[in-house]
Amino acid sequence: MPELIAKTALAGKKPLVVGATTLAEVDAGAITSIARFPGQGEVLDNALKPLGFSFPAPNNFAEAAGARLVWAGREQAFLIGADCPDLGDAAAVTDQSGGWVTLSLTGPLAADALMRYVPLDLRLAHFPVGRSVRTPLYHMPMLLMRVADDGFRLMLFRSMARTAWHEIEVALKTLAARAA
Amino acid sequence: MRIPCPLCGSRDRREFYYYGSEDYLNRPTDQGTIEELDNHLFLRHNPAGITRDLWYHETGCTSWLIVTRNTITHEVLGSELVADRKKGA
Amino acid sequence: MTSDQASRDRAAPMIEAGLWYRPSYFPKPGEAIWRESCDREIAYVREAVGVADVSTLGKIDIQGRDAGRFLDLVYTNMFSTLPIGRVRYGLMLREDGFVLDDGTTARLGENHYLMTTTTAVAGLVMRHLDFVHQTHCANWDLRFISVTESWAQFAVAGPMARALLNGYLDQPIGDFPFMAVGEVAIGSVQARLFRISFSGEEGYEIAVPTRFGEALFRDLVARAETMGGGPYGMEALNVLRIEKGFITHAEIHGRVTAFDIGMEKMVSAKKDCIGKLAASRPGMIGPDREQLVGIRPLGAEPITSGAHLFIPGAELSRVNSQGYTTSVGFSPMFGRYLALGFLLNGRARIGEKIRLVDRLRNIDVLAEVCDPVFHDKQGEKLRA
Repeated sequence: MPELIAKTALAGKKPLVVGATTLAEVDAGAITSIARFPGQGEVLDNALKPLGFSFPAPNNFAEAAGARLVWAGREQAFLIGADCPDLGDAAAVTDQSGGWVTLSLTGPLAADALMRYVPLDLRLAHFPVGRSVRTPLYHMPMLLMRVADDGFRLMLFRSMARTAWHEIEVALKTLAARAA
Repeated sequence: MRIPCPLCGSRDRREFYYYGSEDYLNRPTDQGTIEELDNHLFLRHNPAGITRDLWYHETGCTSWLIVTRNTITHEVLGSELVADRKKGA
Repeated sequence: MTSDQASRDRAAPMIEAGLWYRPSYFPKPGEAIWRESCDREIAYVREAVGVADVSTLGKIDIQGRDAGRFLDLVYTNMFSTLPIGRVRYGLMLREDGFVLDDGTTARLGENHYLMTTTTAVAGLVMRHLDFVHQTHCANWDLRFISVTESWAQFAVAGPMARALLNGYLDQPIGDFPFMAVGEVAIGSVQARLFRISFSGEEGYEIAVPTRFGEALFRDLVARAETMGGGPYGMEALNVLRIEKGFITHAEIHGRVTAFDIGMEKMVSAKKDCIGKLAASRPGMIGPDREQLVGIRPLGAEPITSGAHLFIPGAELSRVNSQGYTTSVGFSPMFGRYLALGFLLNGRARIGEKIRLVDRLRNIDVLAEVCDPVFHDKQGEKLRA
């Protein structure tokens, strides 16, 4: 009876360090999509309460007990890093764990590198900690979070992992070369 | 060109897919006439001035929007979610 | 795709399919040209067992009490009546009555369906579904999301497909009819098994969460090779489906109706659907339209897709073109090239001799118009 070996999208890839900025793949654990059915707002919030969450408002995420509940689109949130409780008929639930690559981009070049590909103002004053947006990285759909003053979490389609990594690597090296 | 998404805020036009006139929102059922169908698919006003068109926030929140804009001045005057229109089941 | 590295390790040339790379064929040492590999892979599927990565096809998870009702609106045929644990082929029209996409949709539960879409139009279909939902039924108990990237899915096809899976899965497949779907276990991993076939042989598709995809592909290929089969790529996949008359977007290219592809009966008379009214317009049905046929050249010379069809003896002019070929492949089974294509009033002209002309490539041959299903018309192998 075989036990299948699990691999993340960029399994084995070492973090990229450019000066004081680091790009690395993160194993985010379980990712579950929660799509709220019409009229189920209160029921859903009650079902999420044991985890310490209520359904997020657009462009926000919350953290509780090592997990995050992240706004991911119209009437939709992703629960990351915890198993999803039984939500009954309040929401449609799917396992998204394998479908995304999660990248951590942290350091002084992070925001500038991203802004070469993202049509948003990602500076701290305009994109504070706790913000989650759906926006493209270049041509690739992305869910982007600011998790620290100098740190972002990027979620992209798993099959685009290498392309996304490459684009960010080019941006980081270009910025570092200019600064030098 | 920037488009105001009611959920995501003001966004670059490249995040959106343009479909066409808000006329596409009113489909005839299979009980309609061929003329109603033809008008729905193909007959359009082409105003110089205020238009209301349908845009899809493709690389954003995937909401469909009705965007009001002025084709003479190029101002984008506002947008609303298609899903929030008052309509029966 | 999760099989990407394993495919490149085997020197498979990779071609673009939508946003992905897929393997064209898997060359073996000693094979001089791609056709040798392709012919060999076709034989794997017809005679033993072949394994192909089909993860790129769009997969949309649809839930809610109104899920079946929504599928009845977007598909021409009925899905609210599909029993749990079954899969059905569906046809989707644009509002102007032309075919947008085809695919299979499975019913996983009372309020839970899984739709598949063609790889290259998955984004377009999603946009269309979002439009129909948000415009016409935003307050329905309905939510859907792409799970294309969340599942790695592999076709296991051929007369030995069942034996391969029976020796690999935790439990033998058992009673599992054609067009069924169910859950199976591989160790601690819950997988989905579909009995569907694009090759026309007894075929299955097995899906696991993506992080297990590479491991599963390598295991399935190793087993298939031990059984005289192995991996097959897009070239072989294309010939297999042409031999069976299964269509792709080469045929449903945007100007084709359900009637044209012989599926007018799939447009249910009992309900409305997107495109229903437009499909009933004068001129959308009838003998004046170009209809899907098979084309079998009399000789063994190569033919091409995009060639035009003429009545033998007619002047080669634009107005005399009776149709065109859409898909072509060399069939080892028939020892010649076969084509699918469209021919004016084609279904009434089976058996007729037609002249196939491609002036760009100096091709001018006679062919016979036939049923688009060249092989196993009754589908006995599918239902084995």
